[in-house]
Amino acid sequence: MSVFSDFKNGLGNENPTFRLLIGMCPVLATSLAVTNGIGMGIAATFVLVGSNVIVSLLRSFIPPKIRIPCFVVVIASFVTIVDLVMAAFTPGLHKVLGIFIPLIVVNCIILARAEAFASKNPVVNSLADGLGMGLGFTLALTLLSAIRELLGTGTILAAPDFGFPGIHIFNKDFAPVMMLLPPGAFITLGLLIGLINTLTRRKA
Amino acid sequence: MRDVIRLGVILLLICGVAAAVLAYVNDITEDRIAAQKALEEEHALQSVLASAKDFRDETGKMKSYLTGPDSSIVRGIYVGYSGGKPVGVAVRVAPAGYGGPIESIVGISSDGVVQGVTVISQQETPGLGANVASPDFEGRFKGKVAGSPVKLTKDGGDIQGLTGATISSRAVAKGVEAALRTFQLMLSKGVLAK
Repeated sequence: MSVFSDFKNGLGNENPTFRLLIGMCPVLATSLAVTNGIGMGIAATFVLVGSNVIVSLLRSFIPPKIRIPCFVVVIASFVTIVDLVMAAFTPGLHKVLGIFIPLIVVNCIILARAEAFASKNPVVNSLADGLGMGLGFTLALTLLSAIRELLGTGTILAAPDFGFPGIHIFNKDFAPVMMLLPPGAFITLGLLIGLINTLTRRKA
Repeated sequence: MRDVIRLGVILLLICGVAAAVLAYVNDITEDRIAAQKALEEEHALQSVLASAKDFRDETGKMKSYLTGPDSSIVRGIYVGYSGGKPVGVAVRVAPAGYGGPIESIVGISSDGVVQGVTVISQQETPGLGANVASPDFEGRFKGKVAGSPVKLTKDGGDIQGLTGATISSRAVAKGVEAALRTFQLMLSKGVLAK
C-alpha cells in the first residue's frame, strides 16, 4: 500500500473510533467540550506518531516473543517525555491537556497500531499510519464533543483556559445535563456509529 | 534456557535505553517544572488575597496545632505580607467532594473576613458539581467572617448551593469553615499578630 493510502486509512475505512471501535475509554470520558476533544486528539496523535516510528525502527531488533512489553516500554516512555516537556515549556497547554496525557498510556489505539502496523511496516508508512489514525481519532472526538457540548450546555467552542467564553447558541436552562454525563456519551456515540454505518453501507 | 537469557537481555537493553532517555529528559525539565509550579501557586495565593505582596509558608509551624477533621482538610497555610506587615492568611484546603477532594485556596484578611476563594482542582460531575470552580459560586463566600458558621441555605445558613450539586457545594463551605477556624487558631497561637 502507498504511503498516502496508509494515511487515509485511519481517517475513513479504519477510523479507530467509528470503525475499529478501539480507544473508547478516552472518547467517552473526554468528549465534553470541543477544546477537550481537540486537545486529547492532538496529544494522542503526537504519541501515536512517535511510538509508531520508534517501533518501526526497532521492528527487526525486537524478538516477537517479547514484543508487547517492548511496545509498552516505548509508549510509556513517550508519554512521560511528552508530559514532562509540556509541563516545563508550555505550562498553559499542559494545564489544559494535563489530565489527558496519562490517559494516553492506556489508550489501546497506540498499542494496537504498534502491534498491527508499525511492527510490520517501514518507517515512512508507519509515520503515515500514526498520523492518519491520530487525525481520525481527533476528528471523531471533535465531532462527538461538538454534539455533546452544544446539547449539554447550549454553547459551543467554549475555552475557559484561553479566556474564550464560546459561541452561545441557546439558553443553558434548556440544555439536558444528561448529554454531559456518561449516558449522553454512549447514546451520542451509538447514534453516530449507526449513522456512519448506514451511510457507508449504501455506497458498498 | 538460552532463549530466556537472550530475551531477558534484549528487554533489559530496551528498558535501559528508555530509562536513560527519561532520566535525561527529567534532568533538563525538573527545575523548570518546579519553577512553574511555584509561580502558579503564587498566582493562586495572590488571587485570593490581593492585598498581600508576598507570602510565607507557615504550614510546618501550624500543622501540629490542627485537630480533628481540620487536620486532614487543611493542606497548607501561608501568611501574606505587605511592606513587612502581615495582612492576612491564605489557607489551602481539600474537603471531600462528590468525586474526590476539592482543592481550593481561601484568602482571609487579618480582621477575619474571607476575601476570596478559588478552586484549583476538582473531579466533580461536569455540568453540575464542577461548577463549584466558577467565579460566580466562589464569590458567594466573600465576606464570610471567622467565628460564624459557613452553611448552605439547605443547612440553615445563607449560602445558595448549586442546583443538583449539594454535596459539592457543602464541601466547599466546609473547606471555607475549616480555613476560618485555622485563622482563629493562628491568632490564638500568635503565629499571626493582629
